[in-house]
Amino acid sequence: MDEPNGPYAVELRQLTKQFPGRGGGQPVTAVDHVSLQIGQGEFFTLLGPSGCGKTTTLRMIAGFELPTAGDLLIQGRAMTNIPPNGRPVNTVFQNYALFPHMTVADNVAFGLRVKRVSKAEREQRVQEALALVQLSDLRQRRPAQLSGGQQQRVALARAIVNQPQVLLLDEPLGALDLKLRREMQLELKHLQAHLGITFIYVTHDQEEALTMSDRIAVMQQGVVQQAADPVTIYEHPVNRFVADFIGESNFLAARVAATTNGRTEVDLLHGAWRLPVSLNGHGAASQPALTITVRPEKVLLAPPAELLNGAMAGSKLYCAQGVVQEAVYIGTDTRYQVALPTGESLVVRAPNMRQRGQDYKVGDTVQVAVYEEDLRPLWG
Amino acid sequence: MERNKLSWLTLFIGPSALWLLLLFVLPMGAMALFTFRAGSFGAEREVFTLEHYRDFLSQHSYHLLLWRSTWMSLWVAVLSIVLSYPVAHYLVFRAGDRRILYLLILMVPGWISFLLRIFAWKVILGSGGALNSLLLWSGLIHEATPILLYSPLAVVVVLVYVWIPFAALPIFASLQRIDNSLLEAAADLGSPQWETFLRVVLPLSMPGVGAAFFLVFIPTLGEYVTPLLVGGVNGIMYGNVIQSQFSRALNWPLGSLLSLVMLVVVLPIMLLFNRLIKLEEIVEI
Repeated sequence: MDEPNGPYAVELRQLTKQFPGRGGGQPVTAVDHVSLQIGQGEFFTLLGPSGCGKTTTLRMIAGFELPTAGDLLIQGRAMTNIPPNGRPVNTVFQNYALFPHMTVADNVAFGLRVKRVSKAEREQRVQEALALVQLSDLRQRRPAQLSGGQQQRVALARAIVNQPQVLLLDEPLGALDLKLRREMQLELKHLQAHLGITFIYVTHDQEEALTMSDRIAVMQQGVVQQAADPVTIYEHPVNRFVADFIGESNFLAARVAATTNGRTEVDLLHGAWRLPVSLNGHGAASQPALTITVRPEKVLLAPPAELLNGAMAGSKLYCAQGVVQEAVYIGTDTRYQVALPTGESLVVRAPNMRQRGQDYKVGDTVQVAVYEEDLRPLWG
Repeated sequence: MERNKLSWLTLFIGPSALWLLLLFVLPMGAMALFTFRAGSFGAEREVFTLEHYRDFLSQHSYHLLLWRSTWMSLWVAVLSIVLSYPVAHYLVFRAGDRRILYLLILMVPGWISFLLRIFAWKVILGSGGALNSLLLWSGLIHEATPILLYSPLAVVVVLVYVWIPFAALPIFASLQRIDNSLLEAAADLGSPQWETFLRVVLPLSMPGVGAAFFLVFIPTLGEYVTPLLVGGVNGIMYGNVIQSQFSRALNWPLGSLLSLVMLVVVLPIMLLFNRLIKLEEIVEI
C-alpha cells in the first residue's frame, strides 16, 4: 500500500453495519461499504442528515458497534473486533455522558484510574487537562452543578487527558446555544491544532463542518457521497444530494445537445443557454439528461454593462431576463427568487454593499447572469 | 391570587393530609400515651405510671430479643439484596425486550397466599421434608436433621425467599435509570466490565439498594407470622412479644412501649443509611 507517512490514523475498508429489522423484518443497512482513509492529525468530519449512518460509523470506530462486514484499522492495527476499552481512541459523547456521582476532577481522572496511572502523575495530568479547558476552579463540582458549556468542557477534558491517538466527537456542540457553539467551534479547532490529535467529528450542521474540518465526508443512506476538503465540497459537489445539503443550490435541468471533437455541449433553459461540460468519465450517450447547479451567491443580479460586454476575459457570461417573485432582506445580503420565462426559477443572493435594503421589489424585471465556470454539471 | 392558590393546594393535599393525621399521627400519639397507662382496661387505664418503662428496662430478655431481631432483619435485608441484585441486573442489562415479561414472572409467587408459601417451606425444611431427603440421599448426612425447621435460620431463609421480588423492584428501577452512554463512556475510557460495574453501575444503583433495604428491613423487624410458623422456640422475634402482649397477656401499655422502642431503634438506622448512600446527591440527575 502507498502510505508515505506511516499508517493512516483510521482506515475503514468496506465497513458495513446492518441492524436487525424490527419484528423480524428486513435488516436495515445503516452503513453501506464505507471506505475512508483518515490521516494523522487530520480534522475529519462525518456530515449528513440524521439517519445517514454517520453516528453508527463513529460508534464502530469507538467499538460500541461491531461491523457486519469490512475492516477497521487504527494506526495501522486491525481493530474490527477489539472491545472499546482496548482501543487507542476516546469519545466525546453527544449528551456528554458525565458520571453524575463523581466530581469534575474524578470524571476527568476516570480513564487514568482504570489504567492504574500513579496518583502523582494522575493528579498532574488531570490538572493540565482542566487548565486546558479552563475549568480548574470547578474541579470539586458535580456535573449537575455545571452549565451545558461547562459539562461539554469536562467531557472534552475527560477524553483528552488519556492522550488518545484519535478523538471521536459525536455532535458535541449540538446542545449548546448558537453563540456558545461558535466559540466552542474555534476552541476545538485550536485545541486540535495544539494537541495534534486526529479528530473525527460527527455533525449534521454543514456550516460547522465547513468551518472546522480539514476534510469532510458527506453521508447519505449509509453511503459516503463525497469526501473532500471544504472548498471542493462546496465548489465542486459531485451530486445533487451534496449540492443541496451543503449550502443552498439552484438546480437546472439540462440535456446533452451535441458531442463534437470530444467536447460535449448541453442545453439548459430550453436551449437558451448552451454550455460546454467535461464528461469526467460519464458517458454522455448513456445519460442524456443531467442537472446543472449554481450557487445563489454566484448569480449576478443586473450586472453592469462592462461585464456584459465581456470585460472579464476568458469566461463566458450567461444571461437571462426574469421577474422578481420574492425578496427577503437578511442583513448581509438580500435573497431574491427570480422567475425565468422558461418556467424555472433561480435563487439569487445579492450582497448589500451600498444599499440599506432592497434594490428590487417583487414584480420588477431584472437581468441575471452566471459565469460559465459557476455552472456545475451533476451527473446521475 | 394568593388565596386562590392556597385553596387549590388545600383541595389537593387536604384529603391525604387528613388521612395521615387521622390514621397515622393520632394513633401514634394514642400509642405513646398508652405506654404510661397502668393497664389496658377499666380503672387501671386511667392511672398513669412509669411502671412499664421500669419493667422494660429491667427485663433483659426484651433487649436481647430486640437485638437479635435487629440482627436477623439486617441479615434478611442484606441477603435479599445480594440475591435480588443479580436478578435485577440481568433483567435490565441482558434480558432485552423481555425484561418486563420476566419481571412479571418474578412477581407471580406473590399472587399465592403468603401462608400457603410458608407451609410449603415447612414441607421443604421439615424432618421428613424434601431438603432432608435430598441430603440423606446424597449421603451428606446419615439421619434427618431437625435444625432446618424451627430455627432462626429457617425464619431468615423463608423471609429472604418472600422478599426477593420486592427487593428486586427498586433495584431494577434504579438500574434502568442508568443511561447506557455512561457504560459506553466507561468502556471508552478503558474500563473493563467489572470495573465499570464497581465504579459506575453499583454507585448509581445505591438509591435502589437503599430503598430495597428499607422495604425489607422495616417489615421484617416487625414480623411475627413467619417466626410463629417456622421459627420454633429459638426463632421467635421481637414482633412475637409485641403480639403476645396485645393478644395473650392483654398488656397493651407494655405492647405499646415495645412498639415505640422498635420505632426508636429503626430511625437512627434509617438516618445512618441515608447518610451512607447520599441519596440526594445521586438523585439530582
